[in-house]
Amino acid sequence: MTVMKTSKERKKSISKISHASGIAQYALAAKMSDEQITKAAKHLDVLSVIKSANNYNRYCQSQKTAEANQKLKQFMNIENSEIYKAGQWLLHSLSNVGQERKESLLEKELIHKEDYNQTVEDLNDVISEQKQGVDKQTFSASESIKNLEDANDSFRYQLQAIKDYIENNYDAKTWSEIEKYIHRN
Amino acid sequence: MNEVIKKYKLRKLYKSSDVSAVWNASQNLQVISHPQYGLISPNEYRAKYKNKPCPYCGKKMVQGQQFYSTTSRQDAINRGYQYVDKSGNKTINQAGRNFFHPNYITLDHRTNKARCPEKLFDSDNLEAICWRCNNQKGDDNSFELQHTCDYLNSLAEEARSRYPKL
Ligand SMILES: [Zn+2]
Repeated sequence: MTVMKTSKERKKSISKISHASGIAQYALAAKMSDEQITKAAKHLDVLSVIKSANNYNRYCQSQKTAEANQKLKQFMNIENSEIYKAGQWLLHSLSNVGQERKESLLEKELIHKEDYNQTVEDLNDVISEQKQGVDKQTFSASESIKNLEDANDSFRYQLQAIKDYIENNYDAKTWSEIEKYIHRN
Repeated sequence: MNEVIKKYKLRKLYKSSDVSAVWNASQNLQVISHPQYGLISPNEYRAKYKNKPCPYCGKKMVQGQQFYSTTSRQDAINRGYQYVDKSGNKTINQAGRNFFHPNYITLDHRTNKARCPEKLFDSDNLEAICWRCNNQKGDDNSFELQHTCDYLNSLAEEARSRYPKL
């Protein structure tokens, strides 16, 4: 087995291999031993056969890298950033009020629709029931008040009539005596 | 006269016109024993609530004849004193020859004075409300109750409209 004598000879062989294979010199230098270099240098014709395939592979890799770079670029562009957009939307939602905010939250599906509908239905049930109760109570209390008002009106009318009768058919003093009597008891 | 009219005397007022006469004659007499202000007159009671919101409509209650009344009906209309009452009629608050601002301050008896004259000067039976609401209330003792009920119902409707089903 031939062993390389000098680093100059190694460099020369790497250059030849690189030219034949299309692999960069720095990669060959870093990854191949003297023995491997010597061996490969003897089969430059074989290396040139795979050169085009290797180049194509490198092209594809570079394409993928370019795509990835483009995405990274888009992401880094603050206007297109998903995080930025989410932040903007959140800020917008927070500055909305009431109904508008709720709709905007629903748009983003931050509120579960079924949960929301169920809660609203429960709320409506409670409201309807309470409303019925309050209406009924208010109605019956108003009825009672009306009855008491009527009774009060009737009693005051009767008392005034009695007073008038006594004062006209007896005298004012008699009525005064009656009033004192009522007051004492 | 500085003495609070005795309840037993008030109780003997059977005619609403007699009750009104006593009330009208007492406007500047210190006949109300207020827990905070001591003995005050109905007029002084009213003045305490000047510029405060009416407990029924929430509008600011005004006082001062020189600013909030006029002797001309047309002037009253121009000033926006006219409103639609509960019967649907256009009306302007009027006392004597003067037309008043709709939210001019008045002193109302929660339990109406004709039916419960012994509470004529009870401070807990008195409430400063605007003239317009006083007109609406009339002598209906269920008014406050009905008002609370309406208020609750409007709250319920508001809750419903804010949270529609999706
Ligand atoms: Zn009012």
